[in-house]
Amino acid sequence: MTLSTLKIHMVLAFLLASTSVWAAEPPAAELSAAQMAIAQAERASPKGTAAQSLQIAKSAFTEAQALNDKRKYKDAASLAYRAQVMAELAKAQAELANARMDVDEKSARNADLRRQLLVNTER
Amino acid sequence: MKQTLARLQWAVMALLLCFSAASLAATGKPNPELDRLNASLSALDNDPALADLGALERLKARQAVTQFVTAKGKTREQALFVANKRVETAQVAAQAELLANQAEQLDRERDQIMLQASRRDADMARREAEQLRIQNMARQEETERLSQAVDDERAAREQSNADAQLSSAQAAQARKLADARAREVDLARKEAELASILASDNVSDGDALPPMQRRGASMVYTLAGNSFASGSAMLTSSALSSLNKLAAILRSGQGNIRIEGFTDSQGADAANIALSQRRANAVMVALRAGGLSAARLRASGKGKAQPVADNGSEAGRARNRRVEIIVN
Repeated sequence: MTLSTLKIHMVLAFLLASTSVWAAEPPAAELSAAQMAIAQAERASPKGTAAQSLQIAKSAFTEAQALNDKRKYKDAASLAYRAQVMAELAKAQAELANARMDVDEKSARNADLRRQLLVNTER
Repeated sequence: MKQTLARLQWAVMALLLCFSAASLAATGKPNPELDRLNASLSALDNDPALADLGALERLKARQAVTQFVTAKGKTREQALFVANKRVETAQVAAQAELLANQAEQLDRERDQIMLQASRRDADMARREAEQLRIQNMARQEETERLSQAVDDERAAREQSNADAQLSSAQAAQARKLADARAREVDLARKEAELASILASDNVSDGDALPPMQRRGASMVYTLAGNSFASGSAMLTSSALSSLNKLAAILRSGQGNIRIEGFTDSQGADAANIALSQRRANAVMVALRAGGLSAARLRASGKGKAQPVADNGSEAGRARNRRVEIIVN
């Protein structure tokens, strides 16, 4: 391989790399996944039990959309993924809060039932 | 030219080695974020309550940690953020699943409470049914006992009635016995009186009672024809005395007395009947004079009927002339 040949190869590699950066597609899948995760988190948190995480997810998603509009697809994809991760955390937090309330309610209900059905019937 | 190319190739290799060395140096350096992440995951794995929960989120967390390990440059910060949030999500998801399991356990506990309450209700119902059955048995026994008492009382009453009837019968028997004894005493008295009369008869034959004979259930006293003057209905004094004694005896009796007069066959029947009637009437008057009630006396004249002897001889005709006093 001659030096000129090597130069040609390096130039071609640089051009190929440049083309791949500038020709990146909009992160539609990431944005869609983030949007879906946020919707699931909202459904899981009707009482706002994971409001902080959900708010962070929504902000990240908004910012991702803005970057996407500015064709900064890589940053948009990164932020969309952050939004998805935060939304999934919010969903898990909401489910935890819901489960805790469920357990509290059922514990109280069982205690009430035990008192009404068992303790009161003791003779 | 070949030497230049060889130098360039060596330089590239050296550069790659430098990068590799740098990378090795980087992995060998203390990495507190990675340690913290691994510690969190290990704690999650070692928690007996959470070890098997949130499996999907835990897998995602491990993948994120792995990506963080291999991430370089600008992506490292993003990878750290994602790894932190994935680990936190795994922890929260495991706790949520644990609570969900507890909620299910509480549902089962609720079912157990309901079942226990149902069993208790059933037991109570069974106990109440048993109590009712026992009460029923006791009531039945009480009813039977009362029925038995009623039967006993009825039997006692019947026994009492029987005793009363027996007593009554015994009293009646005693009364009858007393009556019989009284009659016996009366009869003895009458017998004594009769014996006295008979004794007095023995003193004077003319005052004797008319001869008596039994005819079935009746006693028949026969007043002979010589008790009257011939062809007359006038009683002789001896006959009157005799009838007076007979009346004294018959006063104690209650039966009816028929007085029947008879003649012999001589003479007209009409005259005989008339004579026999007058003689019967005379006897009846004498007996009434002796104290007998007129209601007990009835006199009739039979004439020559029912002769007791042959009218062909004087002795037979004398026997046929008679007055019979029949005491029933």
